[in-house]
Amino acid sequence: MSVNGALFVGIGSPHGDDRIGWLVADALEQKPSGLLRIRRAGNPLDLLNWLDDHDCLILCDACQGLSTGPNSDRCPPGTWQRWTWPCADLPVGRIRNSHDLGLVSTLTLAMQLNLLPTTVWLWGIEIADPGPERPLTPGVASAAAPVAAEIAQALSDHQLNSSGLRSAHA
Amino acid sequence: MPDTRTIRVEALSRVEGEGALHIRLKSGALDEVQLNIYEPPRFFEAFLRGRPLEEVPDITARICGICPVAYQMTSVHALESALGVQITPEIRRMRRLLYCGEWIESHALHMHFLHAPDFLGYDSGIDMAAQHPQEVKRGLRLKKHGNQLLEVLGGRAIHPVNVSVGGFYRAPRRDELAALIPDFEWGLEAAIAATRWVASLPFPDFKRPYEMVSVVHPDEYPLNEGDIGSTAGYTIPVGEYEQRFEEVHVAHSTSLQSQRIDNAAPFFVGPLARVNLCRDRLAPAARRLADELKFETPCWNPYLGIVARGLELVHAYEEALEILRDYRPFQPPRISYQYRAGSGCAATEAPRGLIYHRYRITDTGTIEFAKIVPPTSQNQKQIEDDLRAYLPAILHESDQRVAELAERLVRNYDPCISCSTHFLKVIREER
Repeated sequence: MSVNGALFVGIGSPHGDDRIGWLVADALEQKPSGLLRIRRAGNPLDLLNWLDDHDCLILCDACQGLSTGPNSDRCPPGTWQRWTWPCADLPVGRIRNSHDLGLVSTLTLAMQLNLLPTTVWLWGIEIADPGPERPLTPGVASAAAPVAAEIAQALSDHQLNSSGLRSAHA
Repeated sequence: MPDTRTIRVEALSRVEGEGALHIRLKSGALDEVQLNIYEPPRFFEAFLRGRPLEEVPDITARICGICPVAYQMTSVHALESALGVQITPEIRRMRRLLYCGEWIESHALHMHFLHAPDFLGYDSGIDMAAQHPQEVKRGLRLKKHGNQLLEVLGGRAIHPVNVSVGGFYRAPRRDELAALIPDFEWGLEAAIAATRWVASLPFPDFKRPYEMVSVVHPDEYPLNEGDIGSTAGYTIPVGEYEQRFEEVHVAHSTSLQSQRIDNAAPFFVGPLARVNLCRDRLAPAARRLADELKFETPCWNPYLGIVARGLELVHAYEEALEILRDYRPFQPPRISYQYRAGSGCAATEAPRGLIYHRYRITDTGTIEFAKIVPPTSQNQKQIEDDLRAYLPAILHESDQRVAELAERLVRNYDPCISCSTHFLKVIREER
């Protein structure tokens, strides 16, 4: 599979730590690989407008409630986790209102409509304060660069696997 | 057999906001129905007091992410009335265009994603998408058109920032609006197809003797301006709204409920009221479509509101296209004004019905008093009344089925509970 059509979407807002998805987009733009089209969404539903002609979708959004296990303490702000869609352990969460869909609901809808590429990865970054006009928490801000690096590496590995180069080099 | 039987639906899907429905039965018969709005009051009217009148359009837009234009439009018209500002025909047309954008995004989503699943037996638009992908894709594309128009004219799709008292902060460039024309031409045909589709859905036979109320205008379909008309046969100036209708507190709701002052009767606002009162002022293709579909007016079946929404969706595309094609940039983008003490009110038509604002301002341009009556507050008592009429015939059904059918009836009104003060919890109590 080619990953030339990889699309990255950072989901966020200008508010507090909620901007982390956009900051990861900024960090990816600093290391152009030629593999990614980079977009910033304010609402997960924006995704449905952008899925044409992409064979890999990479998403990054703020999240709250990451933990190391069912009875474990919550992870500190700036901790991140990667999922491959579809994944059962992603909480759907409460639908915020009738005219808006969260990320998991949007991905479910896109899947129903056969709009999703075969490869969909999500990065969630634990945040602390998404309040309007709140500053970015230092621990959250410091996650942008390593998450961008991990995304770039994952794409590179995926390209090698897809083209068969890795097995040729192995 | 327990004395008390309780049904709980923790989340009424596909309505905007949070509330609960309490159904009490006595000796097997319906005793009381209450639509409990428990969302905390939002105090926007109090927030506005003491603030410069220029802040009102942007603050009131925050009341709702779905119909911010309705709040902005009604506030600016009311404030301009207080200030004695006369806007130009060009500004007036741009305001109608902005309103068309809001109607398109709201109506398209409600028809395709929120309401149609009720008639096709799906729990949600997401569930419906697997079997009806083209319809869902169409709805999302139409919604996008509305958002695009709001972005160009309003500065952004949610909570636009370009609306000011006296006009707009900036008139759009011709190329910005012209770029929308191809999509809107496609959208008009798609809206016609969508309305034919929803008109073919199976509708319950449920008719009631409603009083339906909307803004009425002699020459145009109601959006920004007009008197207030009723299917009861009267027409009153907007300035007499508060002499005819009142908001009352009810113990079970944090939202005020509207009723007629003279007889405490509920009334019905929204697309069906507008089509019933103003069908002959729909744009030509929408009017022809109503005839083709043999849509009988007055229509007293609230479930057919989805068809009325479709006709209005077609109208909004037609009117928007006409304005987009004829657009020439205009100056000034807004009319200047001098502060003066006074009061002003206005009524316009939000996607889900009539919205009324009244303000009193000081001679330094400060808000002294604000009154905001959203459409859903006006419909809440009517919704309860509908449920009282509808529920006795279905009480033999299971708790889950009663809850489903009650929710569907509520969704006819496309309620925006957030505006009025969010998911419905149905509690059925049997004694």
